[in-house]
Amino acid sequence: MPRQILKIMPATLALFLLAAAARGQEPLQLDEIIRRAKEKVFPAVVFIKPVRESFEVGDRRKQLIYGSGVIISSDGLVVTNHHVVDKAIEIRCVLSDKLQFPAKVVGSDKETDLALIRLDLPPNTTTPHASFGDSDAIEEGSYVMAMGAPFGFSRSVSLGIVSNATRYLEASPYNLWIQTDAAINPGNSGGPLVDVRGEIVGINARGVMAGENLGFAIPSARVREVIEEIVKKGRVERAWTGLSLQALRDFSRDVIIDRDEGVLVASVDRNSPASDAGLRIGDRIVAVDGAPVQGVYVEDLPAVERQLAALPAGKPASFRIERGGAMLDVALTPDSKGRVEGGDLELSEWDLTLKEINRYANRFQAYFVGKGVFVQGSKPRGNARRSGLRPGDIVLEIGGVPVRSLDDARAAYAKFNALPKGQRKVLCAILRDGYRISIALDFNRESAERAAPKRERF
Amino acid sequence: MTGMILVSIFAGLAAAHGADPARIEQAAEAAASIEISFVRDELRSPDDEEENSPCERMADLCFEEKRPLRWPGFVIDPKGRVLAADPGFRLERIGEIRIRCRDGFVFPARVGGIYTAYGAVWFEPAQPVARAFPYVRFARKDLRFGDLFHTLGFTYISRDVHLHLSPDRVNLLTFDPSGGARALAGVKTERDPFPGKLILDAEGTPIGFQVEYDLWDGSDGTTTYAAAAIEDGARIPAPEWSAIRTRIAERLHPSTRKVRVYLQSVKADEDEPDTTDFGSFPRRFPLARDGRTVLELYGFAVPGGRILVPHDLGRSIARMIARTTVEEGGREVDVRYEGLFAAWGGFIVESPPGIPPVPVERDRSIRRGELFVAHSIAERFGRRHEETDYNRWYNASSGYEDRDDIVPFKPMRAGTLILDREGGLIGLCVAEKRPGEEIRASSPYDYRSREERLRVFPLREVAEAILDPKGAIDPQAVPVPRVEALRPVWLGVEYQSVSRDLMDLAGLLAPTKDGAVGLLVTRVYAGSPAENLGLAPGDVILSARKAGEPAPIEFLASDAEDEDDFRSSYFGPDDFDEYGTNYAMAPRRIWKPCLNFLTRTLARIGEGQRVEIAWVEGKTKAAKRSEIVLEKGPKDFDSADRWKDRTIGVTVRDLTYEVRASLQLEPDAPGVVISRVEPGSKAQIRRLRPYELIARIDESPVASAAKYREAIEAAISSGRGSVKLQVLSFGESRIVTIDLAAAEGPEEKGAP
Repeated sequence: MPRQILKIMPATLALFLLAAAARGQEPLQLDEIIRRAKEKVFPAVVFIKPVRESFEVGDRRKQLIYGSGVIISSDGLVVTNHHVVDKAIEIRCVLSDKLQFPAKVVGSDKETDLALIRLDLPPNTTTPHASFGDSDAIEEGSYVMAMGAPFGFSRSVSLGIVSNATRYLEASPYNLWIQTDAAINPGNSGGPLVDVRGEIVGINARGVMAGENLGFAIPSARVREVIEEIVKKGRVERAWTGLSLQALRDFSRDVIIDRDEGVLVASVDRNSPASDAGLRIGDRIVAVDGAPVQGVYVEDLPAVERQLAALPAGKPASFRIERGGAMLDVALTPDSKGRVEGGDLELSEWDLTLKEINRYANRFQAYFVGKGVFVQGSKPRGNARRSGLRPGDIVLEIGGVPVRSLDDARAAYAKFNALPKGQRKVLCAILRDGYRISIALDFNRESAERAAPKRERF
Repeated sequence: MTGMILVSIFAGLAAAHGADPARIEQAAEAAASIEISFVRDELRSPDDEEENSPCERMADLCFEEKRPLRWPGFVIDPKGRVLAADPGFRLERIGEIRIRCRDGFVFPARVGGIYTAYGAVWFEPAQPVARAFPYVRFARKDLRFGDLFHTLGFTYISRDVHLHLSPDRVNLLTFDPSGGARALAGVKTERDPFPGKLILDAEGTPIGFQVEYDLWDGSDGTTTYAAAAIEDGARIPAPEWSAIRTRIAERLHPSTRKVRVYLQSVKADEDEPDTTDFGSFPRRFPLARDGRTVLELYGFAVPGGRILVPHDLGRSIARMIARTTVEEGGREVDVRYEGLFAAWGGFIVESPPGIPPVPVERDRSIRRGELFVAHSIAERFGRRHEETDYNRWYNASSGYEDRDDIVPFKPMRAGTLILDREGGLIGLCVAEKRPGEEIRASSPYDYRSREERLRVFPLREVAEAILDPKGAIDPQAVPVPRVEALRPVWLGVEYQSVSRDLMDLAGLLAPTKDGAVGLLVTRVYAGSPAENLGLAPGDVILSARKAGEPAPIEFLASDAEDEDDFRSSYFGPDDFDEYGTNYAMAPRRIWKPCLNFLTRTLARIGEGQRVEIAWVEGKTKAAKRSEIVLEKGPKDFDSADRWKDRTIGVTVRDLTYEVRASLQLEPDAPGVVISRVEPGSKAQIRRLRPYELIARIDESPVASAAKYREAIEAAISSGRGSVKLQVLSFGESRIVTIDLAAAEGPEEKGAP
C-alpha cells in the first residue's frame, strides 16, 4: 500500500499542475521547464545492477541488488552511492539507451556514502552526461526531480520540491542533506536529484520507508568535493582527532551556550590525539590553526567536521579553546583516520562470518576491546549458531589462542579445521555484553545436515 | 432422562444368580430423576477453575447452559422422600427442583436434609402430594460378609439414561465391625456415570445404597451403606442446617476482620513492579501475579490479642511486607506483623483492642462420623465472600511423617476454618509446610506450590502454635527493608551453565556428571567470598551444602541455563525525535541481575548459615570444598541507593560493583546510572535515556545518587536557572543543559 501511494503521488501532482494550467498561462511553462530539465539529465541516468558479497547471515554469499547512478563525464564516470557498490564483485550498468556495460569502482567513501565508478566502454565511445548545479543556492520549495530505478523500475522520474535544503542527520558527520518529497525508494540510491535547470543538485541516498515521501539527497557541492578527491587519490583521506562535537545551541538537548563562535567538545576518545593533547569534555574550540570555528547550530557541525578532517595528519595543529572562561592554545597532532570499516572473513565449516572491529563502525564492540573481531553472522541451522555463538559476540580466543585480528582467526580456523571428524570441537572464549563466557563450538556436523530447508531460504 | 426411565435388566444373567425379575422390577419402580436448576453464584467466577471444586463446576456448567442437572435417586417412603448421593455442591446454589418418577409423575421438590456421616442427602416434595409413591422396601437392615448382590443404578445407553442392573459378587467387608449400621466398604471396579445405586440381594430385594466418591487426595471408589444407615442414620433436616449456617456466621462475624498486607514493590518504586519473585505465591493470589502489592485477606481474632490469617505467604513474600493493617470500624488500623508459622500456612498480626477472640481449645479435633462445617472468607470481585458449607471426614490417608491425613468428602480451599455445628473451632484447612523445603526447591521453575498441598489440621495440632506462637514462627520469614530484600546473599561470581561439550573440552566431564551439574565461573568480584575461597574464572561450582544437612544441593545446569539467555539487545532503534534527526540508538541494560539461580538458592539457605561450597578447579582439575558463612552481597543495581529527581524527571542510582565491572569502569570512576526517565519530562525532551550515566553536573563529578541529589538541590536553592549534565553512553559523552524551574503539574505520588 505505501508503495502504491508513493507511485501515485507524483502523477497526482502533475495532474494537479495541469489542471491549474488550464486556468492560466504560466503553469504550462512550468511543465515545459520540467520536461526540458528532465531531458538534459535523463539520458545520463544509469541503472546499476551490482552483484555484491554479503557476510551478514553467516556465510559469504552473492547478492544481486539494484541501484542508480548518473554519468558525469563523456568517458563514462558515474557517480553513485557507496552502499550501492560496496563489496561489489561485478557491476553491470544499463544506460538510458538500453545499452549495457560493465563497470569498475574508481573509489568509494563510506562516510559520505558516495562512490565513483567507470563504465567499461568500447574504444572511442562517448556517453551523454549531466553536469552539477549549485546545491548551496537551492531553496526550500524549489521543484526537483528524483531519477533512477526505484525497486528496479529503471528510467523513472519523480517530481517534488525541496522540503529542507540543510537537513542535519546525526549519522552523517561530513555533510548536510537535501530533504525532498520527490519519491525516493530502494533502487533510487545513487540517482541524481535534478533542479529545473537540468543540473544535478544532489545524489539521492536515503528515504524513510515508514514515512511518506521523506527522501534525502547528498548536496552536489559535497559530491563534487568527494569526487575530485577520489579522482585525484582514489580515496578520501581524513584526519582523526578523537573529538565528538556538539553545537553551541543544540535545541534537541537544550544546550544553549551564549556564544557566537566555536564548537563544544562533547566527547574525547580514549587514547586519541585529542586526549593526548589534553582536550576535555566541555571545552569550546574557537579556532584551529587561526581559522575560526563556527559550530553554533547543528547544521554548522558538518562544516566544522570537514575543517578538522582536512587537517594534515601527523602535523601539529593549534587549537584555540575556551575552558572555564580562560582562552588556551593547545597543540593537537591528528592521526590519519584510516579505514572506517573492518574486513570480513567467512569460516565456512563453522557456518560463521567474522568482522574486524572498527572504532568508527562498531562502537559497542570497540568500547570493550578496542581491537579484535566479532561475530558478524551465523547461519540459522549452522554449527556456530547451534553451539551458541551469536551475532555481536566478540571472539577473544579460539582453542586457547588469542584472537586480535582476522589473520589470527584465519590461522585458528586452519588449525582446528584439520581436526579429524568426531573430534571437531573447539573451546572459544567470547565477550558478550561485557561478560566473558565460554562456548564449545562443535563443527562435526556435515554441511548437508545443517542446510536450512528450502522454504526457509530467502 | 427426558423420556421414560427404562430398565435394562439382564434378566437371564440375574436369574442365573438366583434373582427374581419381579423383585427387581419392583425396586426399579422407585427410581426417580431429580432435576436441579441453579441460581447464579455472584461471587464465584465459572472461569476460575482453580478455585471451584468439580461439583461446583458442574453446577456452573448447568447454569451457563440453562439446563437442569439430572441426578439419580430412589423414593424411599410412600410420601415421596427421595434418597440420592450427595452431589457435593453447596445446597444454597439450588434454585428449583423437580422430581420425575419412573411412572412419569412429576412434582416440585426441595432439599429435605443431609446425612451426617454418609455421602447422601434426601429430597422431599415441596408440598404434600396426595399420592402413594412406589418406594424401596429394604429386606433387612444389615449387610453380611460374603453377600452376593446386584446394583441397580443409572447409566447412559445411546444418550438416554437407563436403569442398569449388574450382578456382582463382592466380598463385603465391614468398615466398622462394632457398629452394624455403619457404612460398609464395597469394592467395585466398574464406575457408572451417575453415583447413587441401590444394592439388591441375591434374590433382587433392596438391602442397601451405594455411593461413588472422588476425593481430593485422588482416591475414588464406592461406599455401600446398609439399610440401617439410610433408615436410622444421623441426619440434619434442611431447616436445621440453615439455622446452623446462620448461627455460625453470626458467631464468627464479630471476630473476623479484613487484613491488608502491603508489600514492597520488588523493583524500585520508579519502575514497573517485578512479578517474577513471588515464589509459589502468585499461583493462588492473582493480585500478586498482576504486580499489585496489596493482599486483602481475612483473619479472625484468637486469644492473646492476635489475629490469625489462615493463609500462607511464603518467606519471599513475608520478607517483602511493608505494612499490615486491620479494618476496624470502617477504617484501617496499622498493626504489627508477628510472624509466619513454620509448619503450616498461616500468619499472625497484632489485633486492635476490643475484638472478641474465637475460643481455641487445645483438645478440640474433628471427629469421624460427624458432619463438620467449613467456613471460608475471601475477597472476591471487590466484595467479601463468605462461604459456609457442610463437609464430612470421609477417608484417611497416611501423610507426611506418617501422620493421619483427614480426607474430606468435598474439597476445601486454603484458609478454611473447620467448625463444629455450634461454631466452635475444631481445625484448619491450610497449606502444609515441611522443614527445609524452601532450600531444596532450588529451582524457581519447578517448585511446587505449597498452596496446592493442603491439609486438614485438627485443632489440637495447631492450637499450641496459635496460643503461644513464639516457638512456632519461621525465623526467616521476617520483613526486611525493600533494598535489603532485594540485596541477595552472594558468593560474588558471575557464571554460565555448563554443557556436556563444554565440560568435555575443559576435561571436567566426570566431576560435572557429564556436564549436567555445575556453574562455570566467568567472573569473580573483588572482595567477595568467592575470592576468599580462591575461586577463579574457569572453575566449576558444583554444589552447596548447608551445615547439618545430609545432602548438598547440586547446581543443575538445566536450572541455570535459562538465565544464560539474559541478553538485553544493547542497541535498538530509537524513535525519531521532533527534529527528525535522531538516528541514535537507545542504550539498554547490559549487566545481569544479581538475583539469579545461584543467589536465590543461597538465599533459601539463609543469611548467616554455614554452607560448604564444592567446586572443581578449571586449571588443575582438583576437587575443592570449603565452608563459608553466607552473607549479603554489596548493593547491586537493583538494590542500589537511588533518588527520583522530580525536577528533571529522572531516577538515578549509584554505580554499583557489577555495573562498573560490566561497563569496565574504574572503581572510583564518577557517575550515576539513569534507571528511569519520566515520560514527558525535561529529561525525556533532552533525550536522556535509561542506562546512560550522568558523570558530572556543572563540571563537578557525581559520585553517588546522594551526591547527585545534593548537587541538584544546591543548584535549585542557589537560584541557578539550569544545570549542565555530562551524559555518558559506552564511552561517548554529550552535554545536556536542563533548566531547573519547578516541574509542571501536581506532585507525583510515591516516596522519593
